[in-house]
Amino acid sequence: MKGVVFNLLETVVARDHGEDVWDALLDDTGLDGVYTSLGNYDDADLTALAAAAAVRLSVPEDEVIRWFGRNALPLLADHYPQLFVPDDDARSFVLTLNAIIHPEVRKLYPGAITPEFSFDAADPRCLVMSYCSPRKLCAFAEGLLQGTADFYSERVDIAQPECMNRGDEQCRLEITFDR
Amino acid sequence: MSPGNHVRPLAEPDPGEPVADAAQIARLERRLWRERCARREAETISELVTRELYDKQQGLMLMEHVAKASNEATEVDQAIMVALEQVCCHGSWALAHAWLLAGEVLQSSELWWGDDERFVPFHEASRGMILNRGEGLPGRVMATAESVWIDDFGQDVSLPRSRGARSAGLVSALGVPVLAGDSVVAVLEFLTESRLEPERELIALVAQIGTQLGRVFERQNAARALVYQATHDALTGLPGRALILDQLNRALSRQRRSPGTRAAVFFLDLDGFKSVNDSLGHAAGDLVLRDVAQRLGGVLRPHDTLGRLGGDEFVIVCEGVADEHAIVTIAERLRAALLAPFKLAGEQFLVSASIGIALADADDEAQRLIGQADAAMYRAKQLGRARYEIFSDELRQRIDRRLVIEGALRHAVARSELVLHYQPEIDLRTGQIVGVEALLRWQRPDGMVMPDEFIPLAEQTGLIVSIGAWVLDEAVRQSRTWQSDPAIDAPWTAVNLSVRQLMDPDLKTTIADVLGAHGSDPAKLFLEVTESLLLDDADTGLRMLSELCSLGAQIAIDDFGKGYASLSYLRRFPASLLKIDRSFIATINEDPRTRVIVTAIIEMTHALGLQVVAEGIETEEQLNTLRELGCDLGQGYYFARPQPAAELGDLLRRDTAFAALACEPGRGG
Repeated sequence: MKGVVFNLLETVVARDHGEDVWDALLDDTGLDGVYTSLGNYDDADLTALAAAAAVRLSVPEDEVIRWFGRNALPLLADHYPQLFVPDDDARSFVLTLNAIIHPEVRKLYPGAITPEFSFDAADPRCLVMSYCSPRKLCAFAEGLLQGTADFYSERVDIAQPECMNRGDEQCRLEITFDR
Repeated sequence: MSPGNHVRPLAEPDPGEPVADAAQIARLERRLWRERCARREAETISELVTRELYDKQQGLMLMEHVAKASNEATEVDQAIMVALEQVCCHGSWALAHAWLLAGEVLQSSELWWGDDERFVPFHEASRGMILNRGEGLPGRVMATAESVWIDDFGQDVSLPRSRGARSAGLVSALGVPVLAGDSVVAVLEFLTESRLEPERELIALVAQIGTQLGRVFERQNAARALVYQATHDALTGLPGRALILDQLNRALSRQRRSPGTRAAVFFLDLDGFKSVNDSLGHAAGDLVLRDVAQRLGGVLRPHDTLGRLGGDEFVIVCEGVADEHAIVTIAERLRAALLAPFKLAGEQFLVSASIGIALADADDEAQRLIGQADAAMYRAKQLGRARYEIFSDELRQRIDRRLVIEGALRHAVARSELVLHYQPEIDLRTGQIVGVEALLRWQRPDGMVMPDEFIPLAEQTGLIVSIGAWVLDEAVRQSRTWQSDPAIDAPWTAVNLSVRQLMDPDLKTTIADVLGAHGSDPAKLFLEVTESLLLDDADTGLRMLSELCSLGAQIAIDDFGKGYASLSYLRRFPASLLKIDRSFIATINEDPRTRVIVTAIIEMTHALGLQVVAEGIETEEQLNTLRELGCDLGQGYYFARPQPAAELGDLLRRDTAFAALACEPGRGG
């Protein structure tokens, strides 16, 4: 996992809950918290931090990850404005993930492992996105999708009839954006 | 990066330490803030550098791909296709296309990348298009020899294809030159589907690819130049033999595929070109050849091929010739093209050509067809130059016979088929046989072949050299036999020399060796040459004759008055005998003017201190007239036919054979 993800997490935790909470999470998990954006860190660090946060904030772990995704997106938009075309809408932005966003990510962060999404865009209303990754971070994807809808001032409804965390082979997200 | 690299401070303050005050905390927080900002800045810089590095790496990989393709490409097109593909994959280009230089303009090529149905309107707008310098995107690139960026192709109505671009949804475009040296040899254009801002690095990178491709053009041009040099004549720039054969072969296979019209070969040889070269030098001769090439090229149809085989030989391959009438038209045009005088060094020269023509049959092959045209040309030369001959069955038979004779002639000496016959030369005052002329006969198993038929052939094939050597040896040997026969008052023996022999620098040695080998008296050897021998290279010929005289041999001028007699050469000829051509003798009693000429020749020859021989005396009347005119010697059927040595030996022993002449009344002198 690239350090930039931990930097984002620290930013949103410190912003919404105070820097002390971030320190407490590090103490809870025994991690030193030295994350630099270009570095590579253990995926388990993120899971441990999310678990610790779930305990401290008394919310389900999934919910923590989803919240993180939703709040990280505006920070990304801030940092990489060229990827967010203001004229576009949330759906077309999501559709550029494989072709544009992820290649750009790999340019900035050599060696970054980005997830491959497959899309079924046949239905103009509902976009079907399949996700298959050993990280099983479908909740993070969901949060980022929420954040994207927020960015384009849209509402989004996400159903997940299949989920790796529930033993399915892949996660299947049915996304309905509403302007 | 592992956590072990860092020494983690304790989570809780040491109870022994004094508790920090508010000011100290604020200071520490500022310090923390500074550190955090510094870290973010460092990260941002790292990200940018990483990104740049990534771009550079991609650029290098792109260059490497194109360089590899350029090095391996045998054709420019291949290298261009790889470049178009690679540049498209590298950047966000949707479509790429190449324009190639054709003379002074750029031509839309069939080389495209991103051949998508969406771009059909742009394809259609580009197809077959030709752009001048400065016109459209490619033309602008050509005019500046630099890359040109267009923000929105569809909006720029000054571009000829702006509507096509708009319909195809193409927006920004980049045009880069392919430079070979300083000249634009092609232009590559790349187009996007969304508006793009010009990116300096990207443009520089694509421009570099243009330069890389330029090297492929340079290499291909160099290779083509080599092939051109190898297949074209350097002097006239015309195709050489190999290319002519190639063109003719193509023409013949086209004829086989679509019969109806035929291919024809014109073989053209300049008349008397050698004298231009000899009198004015080779540089002048070259100028004439170039001029001839230009004139001939000027009267040909666009699809006819004119080539030069070397020397003053030109070949023209014409296709789609309907019949002999069409051929005659072309031949007349070729002849007419050379009619105007050639100007050299302020002087004017006339140069004509002998033309041989061969029409292709269905199963003809190139080499044979050129050979037939060559043979027809040779026939045109024989028939008096400055004309054309079409290869015919009759000519074919003549050539076939020639080939047969040529083949047999090669073995004639070895098979002892050559013999010498001798004809006496008689002193018209005393009737004494003073000389004999050795005449070559070829006794083939199926009959005698006359010299007229095989001597010219022997000269063309070079066999004359070995035959001439044999004749000299045999004649001298026979002469020596008569010299040592006490019953014979040995006459001189006359041997004819050909041009080839006279131009042979070793002739003097050869003759000296022959005389020495047989122990023969040099004074008994007469060497007969015709005046025409001196036409081509008079100085060398006259020098050689003088050297032969120094051996003690004597020179006779043969066939005088027949060809191009030049009195100025006569003055310099180291001859002691002049033979009047038989054609004068034949009509001496019928034509008063002939008699006047013969009278003049005899008087002139005597005045120059030479003796005169009349050739071809056949009647008593002719003999009497010649005696009246004071002719010294005579030769002809009236006295004796040419006969084998043994028979002539008998005649010599009867030295009174023509004694009647001595006492005949009314003889002149």
